Amino acid sequence: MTLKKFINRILQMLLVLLGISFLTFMLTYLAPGDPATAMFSAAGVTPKPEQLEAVRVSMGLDKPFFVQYMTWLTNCLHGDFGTSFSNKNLVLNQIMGRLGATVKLSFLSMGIMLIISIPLGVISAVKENKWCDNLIRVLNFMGISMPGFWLGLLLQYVFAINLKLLPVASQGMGLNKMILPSITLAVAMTSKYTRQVRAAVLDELSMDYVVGAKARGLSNAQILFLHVLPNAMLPLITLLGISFGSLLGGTAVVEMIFSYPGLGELGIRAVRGRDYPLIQGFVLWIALIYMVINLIVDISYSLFDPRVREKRQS
Amino acid sequence: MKKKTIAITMAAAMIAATLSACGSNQEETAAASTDANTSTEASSAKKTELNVATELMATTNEPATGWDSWYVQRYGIGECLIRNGDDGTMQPWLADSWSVADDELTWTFNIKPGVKFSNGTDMTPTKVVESIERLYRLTDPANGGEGLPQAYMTYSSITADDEAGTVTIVTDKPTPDMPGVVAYPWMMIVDAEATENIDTITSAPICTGPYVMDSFTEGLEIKLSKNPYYYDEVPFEKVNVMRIAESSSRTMALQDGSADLAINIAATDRKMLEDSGYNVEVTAGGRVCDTFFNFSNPVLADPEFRHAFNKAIDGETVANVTTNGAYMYGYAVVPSSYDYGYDELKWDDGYDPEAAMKMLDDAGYVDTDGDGYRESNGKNIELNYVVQANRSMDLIAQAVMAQLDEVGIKANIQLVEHLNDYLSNGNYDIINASISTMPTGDPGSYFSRWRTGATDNSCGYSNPEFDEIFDKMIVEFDSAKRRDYIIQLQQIIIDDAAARCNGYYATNVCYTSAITDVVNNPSEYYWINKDIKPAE
Amino acid sequence: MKMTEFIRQQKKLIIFGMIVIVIALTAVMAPQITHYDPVKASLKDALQAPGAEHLFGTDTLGRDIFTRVIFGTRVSLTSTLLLLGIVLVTGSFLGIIAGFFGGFIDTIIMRIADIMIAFPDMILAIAIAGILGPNLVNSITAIAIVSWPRYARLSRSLVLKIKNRDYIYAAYITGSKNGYLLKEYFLPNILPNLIVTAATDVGTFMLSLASLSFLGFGVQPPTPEWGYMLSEGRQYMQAAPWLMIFPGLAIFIVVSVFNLFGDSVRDLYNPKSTVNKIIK
Repeated sequence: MTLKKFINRILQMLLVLLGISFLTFMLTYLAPGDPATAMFSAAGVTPKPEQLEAVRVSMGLDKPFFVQYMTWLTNCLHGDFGTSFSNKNLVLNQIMGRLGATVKLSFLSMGIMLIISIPLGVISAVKENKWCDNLIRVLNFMGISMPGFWLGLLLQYVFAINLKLLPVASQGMGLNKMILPSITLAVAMTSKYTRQVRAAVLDELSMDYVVGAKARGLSNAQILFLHVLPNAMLPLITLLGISFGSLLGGTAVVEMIFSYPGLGELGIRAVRGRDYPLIQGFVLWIALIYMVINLIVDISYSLFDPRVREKRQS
Repeated sequence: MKKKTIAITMAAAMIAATLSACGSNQEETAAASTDANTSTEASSAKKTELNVATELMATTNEPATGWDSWYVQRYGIGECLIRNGDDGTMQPWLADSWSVADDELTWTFNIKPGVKFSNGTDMTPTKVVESIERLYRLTDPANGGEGLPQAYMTYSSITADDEAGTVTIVTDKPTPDMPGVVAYPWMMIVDAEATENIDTITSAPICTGPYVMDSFTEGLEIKLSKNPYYYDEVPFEKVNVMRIAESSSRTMALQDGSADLAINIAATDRKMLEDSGYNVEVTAGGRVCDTFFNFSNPVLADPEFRHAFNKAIDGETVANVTTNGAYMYGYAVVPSSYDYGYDELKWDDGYDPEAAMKMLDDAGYVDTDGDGYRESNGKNIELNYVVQANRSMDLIAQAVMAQLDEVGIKANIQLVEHLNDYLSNGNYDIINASISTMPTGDPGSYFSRWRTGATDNSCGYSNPEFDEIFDKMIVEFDSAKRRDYIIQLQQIIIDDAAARCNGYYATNVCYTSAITDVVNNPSEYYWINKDIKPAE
Repeated sequence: MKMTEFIRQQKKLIIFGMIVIVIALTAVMAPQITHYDPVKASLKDALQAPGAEHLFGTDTLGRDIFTRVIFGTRVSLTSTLLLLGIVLVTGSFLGIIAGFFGGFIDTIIMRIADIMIAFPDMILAIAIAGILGPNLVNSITAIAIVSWPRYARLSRSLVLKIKNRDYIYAAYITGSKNGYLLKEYFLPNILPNLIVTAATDVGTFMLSLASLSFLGFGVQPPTPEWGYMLSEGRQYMQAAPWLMIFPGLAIFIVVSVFNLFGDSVRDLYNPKSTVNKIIK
């Protein structure tokens, strides 16, 4: 990726971050009740009218909307994302505290997904319309139609109670705590991704060079692993970035179900409790993570694709 | 070729990074679960770790912030001068004894000698005074604090006499429930000086309790270890408090040994646990679920309507069946398990839907347009029912709504996350509130919710007879007279149907046979204490 | 194409279409199929296991779960279709305007769409629904807000594809007004594609709405809705698992059916291409 493109991309990211933050800020402005009352509510305290008024002024709620937004924005640029309503802790600290957990969960789920869906997708494509393919497609289909929150509950029920294989609550952030949530997440993602692997491989298989390779005497395995797969991987890498988006969305629900102390659980609690600074911080950081991941994905795409590489070099 | 190697290396690196990140914890986890398993098998190795599963965890460890002090005390970190005894009486703790002078304002506390803070510093009367002054300074509304302790007691002077070993507090107003005030969790004694350098959001202050906080992972777990300077025996080397938000998951934690002690399990699972040989201790403590009527709504201001309302609800079934025993049924606003004359009170608003409908008809609330709902002044009666989905109060609300429906009254449930806002601003027609009636061991101040003009009277109830008795009660030191006044106040509320009590919350703890001496204290302030020890 | 030929070729479409109609009928005829009231509590019958009297058992307020599941179909279908309609109409409208008029309007609309697409939609939907206040309308609004960009983009690209064709110019030169052009030329070309996309999205929308209700940001009690019923049943996982099993099963089955239906609608417009069977 050229420097120019890279800078363009960064600018795009900034624009999106700006837009999203503006949208959430506007929402909190439009919502019933104002941030001052929300703050006291979230702390579980009833303020006297003078206290409420004093807090309103200190929050700058008497100033026009744009001024408030700009103040918040400038603070963010200085690294001050505000203070959570419910516990007076810095939003940044709270988010940082939970970030690692969600990232770990995401990568584990991603890892499981890749390990399963790539082989399955390839098999499915190669054995198109045979019983293997059909079985895999049925499984995929079930995975896509399955409500993630239901699956999580079922897994909890089956594994933890009846089979006593996995401890329900374990200390620390060990693998035990992550396994059920990541399986729940991985199921939906694997189903979608296997379909896409299958489609990509099928696309490649229908290309002329495959016929040519066979005519030249290459074995099936050679064609598959040396030519078809690497080419099919390229579009799949981009799709990986997009999958990450639904992954982040899915973690919110799954974390709630398994009481997993990640960013999603923090966000949902913040939304429930009308903790506006925390909500804004949460939304902003999720957007940031998502876009950084996509940026990395796009950069690696351009590194891998020889066509793009050659263009750069020339 | 190069592409593939890059891809494979990247994938491998990703997986390796993930596994190594959790690998370091795996040993810990393995060791911990082995501990739990061996303990439940009652092997010869003595149990040194206590594992607790709880739903709630505070987000800070600062006693002066909101109700976070409850948790610092519950974890066994902080102690107060006085303790709420398991039988409801006030027990000595960091104070050996206390007394009040004839002026009804000067309280003297004899401080227990030989107590050290967890950093080795002696806890002298001076330190006690510093601790209390710290609390009042941080919570002072003038400093931006929330003013919570000040609502219970304010003092004109507080002095320490290190030689005599006493602390003297002179209150501004006569405070008959002073022992209870002093026993309130936020009054825990901290080493104010040493705590200056501690970030009480992520760590606990320096206190005198049997356990100290090693680590605090917000929303996940708290690790504690033995306080080496504790003045008594400490049974466990380590304590792990895990946050498990779902009751069903806490049950599972008990069943697979990850937890020895679980706080508050839903009634449906309790029966199952008891049948499988686990220990279950249920206590109907001082917490109630009251439904307040907003008297600014003309329909609710009509006593006939309110009495009909009460008659329409089958309180016993709601408490016993719908909430599955989470509440013990009772109609007086003070829990029946405490000695405040429950049996002497007269109540005739029991479940009688026929009578309810007749009362409503007679009072002029009839359904003229045949839609099944009664009207008042030509408009359908629609009650806004504000409820928080907590402690089964939403279940109670749904059950109440269904039964009101049967007598022709329409109520719409509004689920909110933070009840206090709606409650204090009167943004409701009817509202379910979970109230701790005896935070200071005495329900006196609880009745201010019905006293004309009081700050926490949000419903707008006003009755001069009630006010007169309330004013006498609130300064009465003689406990017999006080009890009498409280009985009278309860009766007035019943006679006027000023509020509806849905029942008394049954707190519970469940534990495995690996530990013993667990007591479910009705105050809800104490979870982990020096008494819980491994079973022999 | 003759009717019988059509039916023979589009077997899947017919079958799944019929199942969809059955589901819709279940929703419409809910009161006839069930014996109990879905909302009225019968406190004494709480938490009964599935049996002769109550096919799927009862919940904590004694309500028959089978009845609530069937009535839940109404809520799910109407809200999903409403959502679909809103997204389809707003998205396509904005996309068509953007493509047709181009210029400043195009830039604005597309920039906003880009911003929203570049964000995990569930998270934004949760934030919107949670902040605006939990109820069905707000949850529909929330998902509509995060979903319209896709339809806008799609319709815009479709418009752009034919905007510069000769026959459009011809019509324009011979005096056709914009409105006429849109109605007679653009719409017929765009509509099929949009409808196909919508059909394949029904399942996803249904799941999203159920997720929001599960988290408590959608339907409020006592309305029977599958996602919310699931969240109510969590507490009773061990003691009364039927509270959790049946609503989840309902979601799974209905979403599957709609996904299958959507797929077969898509196959109608995009028949699969033949693939080289070089590699076995």
